Amino acid sequence: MNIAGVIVDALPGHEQGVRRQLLSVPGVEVHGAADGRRLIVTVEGEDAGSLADALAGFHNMPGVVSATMVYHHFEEDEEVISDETEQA
Amino acid sequence: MKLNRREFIKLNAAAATAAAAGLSLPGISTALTQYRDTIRWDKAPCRFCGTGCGVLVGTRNGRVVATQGDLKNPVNRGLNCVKGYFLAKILYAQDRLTRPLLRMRDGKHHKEGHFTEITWDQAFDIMAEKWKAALKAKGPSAVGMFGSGQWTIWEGYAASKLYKAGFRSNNLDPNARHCMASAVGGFMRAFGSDEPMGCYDDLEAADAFVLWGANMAEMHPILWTRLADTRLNKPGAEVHVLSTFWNRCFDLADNGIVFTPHTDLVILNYIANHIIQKKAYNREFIDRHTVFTSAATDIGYGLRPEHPLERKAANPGNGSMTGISFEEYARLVEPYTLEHAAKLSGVPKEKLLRLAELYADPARKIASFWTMGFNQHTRGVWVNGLVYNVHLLMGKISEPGNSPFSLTGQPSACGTAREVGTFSHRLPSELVVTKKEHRDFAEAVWKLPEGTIPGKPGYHAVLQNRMLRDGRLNAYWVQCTNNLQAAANINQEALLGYRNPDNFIVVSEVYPTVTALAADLILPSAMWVEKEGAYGNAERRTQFWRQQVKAPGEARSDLWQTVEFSKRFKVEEVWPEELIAKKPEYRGKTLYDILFANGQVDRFPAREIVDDQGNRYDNDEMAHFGFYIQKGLFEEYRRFNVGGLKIGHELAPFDTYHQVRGLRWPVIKGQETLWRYREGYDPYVGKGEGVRFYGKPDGKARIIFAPYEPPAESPDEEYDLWLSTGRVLEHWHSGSMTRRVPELHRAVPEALVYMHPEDAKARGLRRGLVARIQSRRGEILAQVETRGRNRPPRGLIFVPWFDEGRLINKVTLDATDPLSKETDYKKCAVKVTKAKLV
Repeated sequence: MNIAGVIVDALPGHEQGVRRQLLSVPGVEVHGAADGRRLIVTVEGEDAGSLADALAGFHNMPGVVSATMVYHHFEEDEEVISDETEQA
Repeated sequence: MKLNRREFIKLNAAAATAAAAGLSLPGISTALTQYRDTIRWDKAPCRFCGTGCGVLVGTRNGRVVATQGDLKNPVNRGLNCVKGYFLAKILYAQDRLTRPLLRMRDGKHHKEGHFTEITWDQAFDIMAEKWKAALKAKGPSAVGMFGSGQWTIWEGYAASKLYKAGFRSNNLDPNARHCMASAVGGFMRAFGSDEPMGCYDDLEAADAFVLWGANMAEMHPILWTRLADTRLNKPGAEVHVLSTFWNRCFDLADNGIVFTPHTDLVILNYIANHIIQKKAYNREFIDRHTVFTSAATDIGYGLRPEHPLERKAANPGNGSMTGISFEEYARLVEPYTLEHAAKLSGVPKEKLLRLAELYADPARKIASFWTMGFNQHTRGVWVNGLVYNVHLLMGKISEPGNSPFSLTGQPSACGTAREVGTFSHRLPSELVVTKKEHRDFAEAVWKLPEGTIPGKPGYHAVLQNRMLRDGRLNAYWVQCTNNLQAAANINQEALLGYRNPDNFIVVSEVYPTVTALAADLILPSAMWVEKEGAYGNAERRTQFWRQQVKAPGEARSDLWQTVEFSKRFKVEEVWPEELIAKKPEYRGKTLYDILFANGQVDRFPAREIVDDQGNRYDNDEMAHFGFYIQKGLFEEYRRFNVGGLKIGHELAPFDTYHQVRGLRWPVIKGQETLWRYREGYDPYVGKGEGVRFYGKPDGKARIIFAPYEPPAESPDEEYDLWLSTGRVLEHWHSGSMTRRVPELHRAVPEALVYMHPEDAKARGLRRGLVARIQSRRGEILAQVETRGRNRPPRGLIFVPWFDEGRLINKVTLDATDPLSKETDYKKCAVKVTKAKLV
């Protein structure tokens, strides 16, 4: 399991273009935007490499000022841990 | 709502990300409150650059499984750069070193032998044998250590004690020499006190930003994000970017300036001249708070003394300054006209004029940032001074938004290398070995007999490699740095030194770096949250963390290694009889007894480490030594800055830092200091004084004229291109950590040579082909890139140095600033040809 939360900062006027580009990347979801241009993004990597490629790609998208990582979770073996989250 | 763990983690990621952006996602928050997780979260500063972002480290079943930006940390407010991605993973690569390894043949040490697993006892046995032999044969100058701006504060402090007091050798220097030494020189000469007067709050307080040789977008992305927010949200805010090639920062630049290497000296003198010609200077500030001086010139290039350039220099290494009048200063900068500056720098006049007018506008608050473009410069100390000149002429300094700001590259270049003073000429808290009063003070704090600490500076980083090669430095310990990849001209200096049969090289490392593989003995180290630690960042913020997990196998922290090694020496084996006679109670004791079990460092008994949630943490060093050694070392160190010889460096008590998200020194009566030297912000500046640069006895800053002098090596007919080296966003420094994260390694697998498409074409090359890059010293092969994030002008190439498969430092020149001894990695002459692949 390999999941990251990222803020992607778009240049003013480029929000829609950046959003479109982001959504074309496999594993990417956009959950909202602050100030209209700071996009709340999660990326889930099917394998570790695709997540890395996605993150590296954010920086190179036209209209992106910066992509900042906020949250990253990785655990090697999903089976072992899948039942351990307890419902309160 | 039922969630599986994967969905739960994803919602957590979305919620944390939204919170960091100042947004709440109501649906998600509600869903998350129904669940609780089994992850233990605790704070730590990031392991990478000098920004000092706060992260929360998530641990589960003894492993770090998650990290997130710390919303409560004022540095990054919940954000992390892409390198945050590595933080949980750098601990767990396959080839982590877990046992001491000695080069052996036929059951014993052999310089050409194979690395063989041995015990810690055996490792310390052979180290002690080699150190004692070197001390006996040649004295303290034959032993040395190369440390790091990635050391924790107490690791640097313990190493300083072991070398400067224990072995009585000042041959201790940090890798920060390669990155910060020119900045330190600039601060000491202008202000008499190291480190910036401002802080990161200037990123919001300034109206305009000028980047001088700092690619913040890639190297300090979180600070860049804050800067970009100000630029995009504050009416009238602007960004000026200066570099020798186009980089990511130019995307946001209102005035992007690509200049000919080394002509920053010209541009800054032109700005000073412009301010004077337009009479824009702040006369009252100048009269009350500054003194004008002129630097000694023709000072050489810090090469070996027999080098023709050193022989030719009139005043090699001369750092003296002569007092001059304002009028004399005005005459000295007068030749630096707009025409002259434009001609030498290759920058269009209107761009230079716009920059000069920005500085000269009394109504605009300006933050100037710089990093390696200024510091790795054969006139690095000078050019640091020239930017202060411009700010001082305008009085734009030491207040919110007006801020000349030297950024740092390592997480504790400030906290450890500079503040603890692990340089070859320094002692803690800005004391220096050359002053008797300073040595006396250190010896008193350390309970040592008078005369223990030698008064002559030891070998600095570049000199260490030369002395290793020459066989004069023979027992050598490298901790927490990859100098064989990082040092310039490695083929002709460092590599020969490490492999010199007269020398025994020890490298403490977490992964088998090129440095480790060139050693005789490799010691496996604990890293980052595998130990309790403390770092100090670029805005004077000291930050602590607790040990979160255990180090793998037999890996031990550098602190443990240094202190444990001190047990191997009886004082009679290292100190002369006349010194011991001054303190006869030390007779028969070990260096461990004298330096660490000295009634001070061992003052705090072992105890349980528990946070306010009741979570428990290990402290493996405390368990081993039987006392709270980190606290003991820190509290002893604090005696240098609270009631020490120099005011204005005060740190808070140890326990405080475990409670807070760092504090910016000086910490006076529990309060941190945001802007130094300014009344109302800095408690050392009295009522009515306004500003006082109290690092200098007269309270005045120095405006120091220094001219343009050419670089050590410039392109000529045969070697016709400039080479600049540097970093890329994804990899940190030599890549020893980041390149071990396989997926990011895949994203940016190898160093490319960035060049102008016309330059490529002229050499029969194009994007994707392999080029041979040759200097007078060495060569490498690399693939050509003519597009993308770095775009050099014609005549210059850029090659990053993270790639151990393409060691660009075989090509670079080991010319240094003769004052700071810091290498210029940004300028040498090379030729590029099409590689013939066999």
